[in-house]
Amino acid sequence: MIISDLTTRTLAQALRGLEAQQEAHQQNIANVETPGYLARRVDFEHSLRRAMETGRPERADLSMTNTVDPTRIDGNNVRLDRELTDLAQNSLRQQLVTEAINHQYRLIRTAIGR
Amino acid sequence: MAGTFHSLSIAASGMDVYQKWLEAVADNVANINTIRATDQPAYQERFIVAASVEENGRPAGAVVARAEFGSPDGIIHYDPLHPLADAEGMVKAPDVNLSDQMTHMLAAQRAYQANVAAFERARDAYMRALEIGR
Repeated sequence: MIISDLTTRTLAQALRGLEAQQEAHQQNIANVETPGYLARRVDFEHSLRRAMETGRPERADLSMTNTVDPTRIDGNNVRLDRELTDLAQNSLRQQLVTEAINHQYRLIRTAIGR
Repeated sequence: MAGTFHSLSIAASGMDVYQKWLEAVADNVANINTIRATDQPAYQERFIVAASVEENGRPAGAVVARAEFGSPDGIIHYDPLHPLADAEGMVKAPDVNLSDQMTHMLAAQRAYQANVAAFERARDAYMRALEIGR
């Protein structure tokens, strides 16, 4: 079906992945001074590519993992500069994916003549 | 707590933690000259300890786990004209270091600002999501 074709479903899953990633960055920023806290990451891109190749993008893994970067003296390894730049990048990518989804819908509108 | 606009509440919880931390620092600085008699405990400086929260493996922000207090022993010094001075002319000042407090204040302020930035990012992302299909 054209309305839920592979492209649209992949884009929707990418948006979910980006939201999970955004939550992880926000969790890290909220815990920048929490003793013993390890920064979380969501790396869904490779998993999404593999899932897309099998035609089931919904199966992409959006889970969070802990980082193993060296910690500060209080056992925390959040780097605020990195979190904020990643968050800015994440925000731009969400805009890009949203724009791509809208583009898909515009194509469908053109096709149905509205 | 995992509502529709979950990311906003994560950033809000971070702001809450650093707000409390700033309050603790303000309290410590305000009491830096709180002199007491030598038989009383000195003003104890307060430190905020944060903890991360997760609900069903999903991030849910940060909370204030507990407050830790400085030493009640204070610093005893000679000030015979002070109304609280004891027979030897000694009084007890709190063991609060202003440089430490200012450093903590900067850290808390930066962390608060970062959470505000994160909040704005989340708001922008949700605004964008509401445009889907328009």
